[in-house]
Amino acid sequence: MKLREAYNTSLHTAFPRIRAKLINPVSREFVETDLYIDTGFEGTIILTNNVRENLKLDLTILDEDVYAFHAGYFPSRIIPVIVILEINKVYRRMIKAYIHPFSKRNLVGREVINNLNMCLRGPEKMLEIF
Amino acid sequence: MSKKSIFLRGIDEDVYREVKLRAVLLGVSVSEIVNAALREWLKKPVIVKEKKDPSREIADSLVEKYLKEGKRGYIIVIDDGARSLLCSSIEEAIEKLRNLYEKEKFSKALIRKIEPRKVEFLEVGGSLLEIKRGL
Repeated sequence: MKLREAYNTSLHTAFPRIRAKLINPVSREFVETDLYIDTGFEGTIILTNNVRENLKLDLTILDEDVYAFHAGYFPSRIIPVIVILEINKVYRRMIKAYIHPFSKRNLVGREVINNLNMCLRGPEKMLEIF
Repeated sequence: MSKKSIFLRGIDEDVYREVKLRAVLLGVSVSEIVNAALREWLKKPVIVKEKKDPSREIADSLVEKYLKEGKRGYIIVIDDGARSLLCSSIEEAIEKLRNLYEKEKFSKALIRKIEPRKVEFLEVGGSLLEIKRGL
């Protein structure tokens, strides 16, 4: 099965993204959102404060001290939460996600990406997942 | 780069002497070395203590208690300590929270592994940072 996702071309440099479903494992509420591909992020996913509020992620906070380094500088505290991540029929797992206080967009990092067979078709502005 | 003259009190004399000696050997000024050292120091993480969170304080005291008793697993602190639960795994913690949430709505739950607190660092790429063009 092949999943095709168009890049977000509204940004100055087109950005590959995946449509994903995030489920709160406690309340069972869910949101569908774009996760932008970030191979520079070593964790699972980074979520914005908007997602935290809409998905009531205060119900699944992990009491851990986690700090994010941005390219080696400016560490800031991020909040780990438990969430179920579903990417079409390709991926469904309960994972530790992170709320970043300053993030304007949701990101997917290497801990998830490394489980997927992905092909970035840059000239076509298209991402394929096999 | 603008530069400013400042006066510093309390500099260790031995350290300063060694810095000055090396500066002469390297043919650079002491201020250049100080600037380089300060830039390096700024690269290190700064951990700022946050406001006290009642849930975290309760979690800390429960962890301390359970560690003394030799218990392992996870604890859940609900609504800043209105209730706390002990679980053997993260899956059990989520299951208990789900069941409880169906019966009575609560707004906050903190899940904590029974182990001493530790700090974890995660490398984040540049996707969070946006470069403003055309400035």
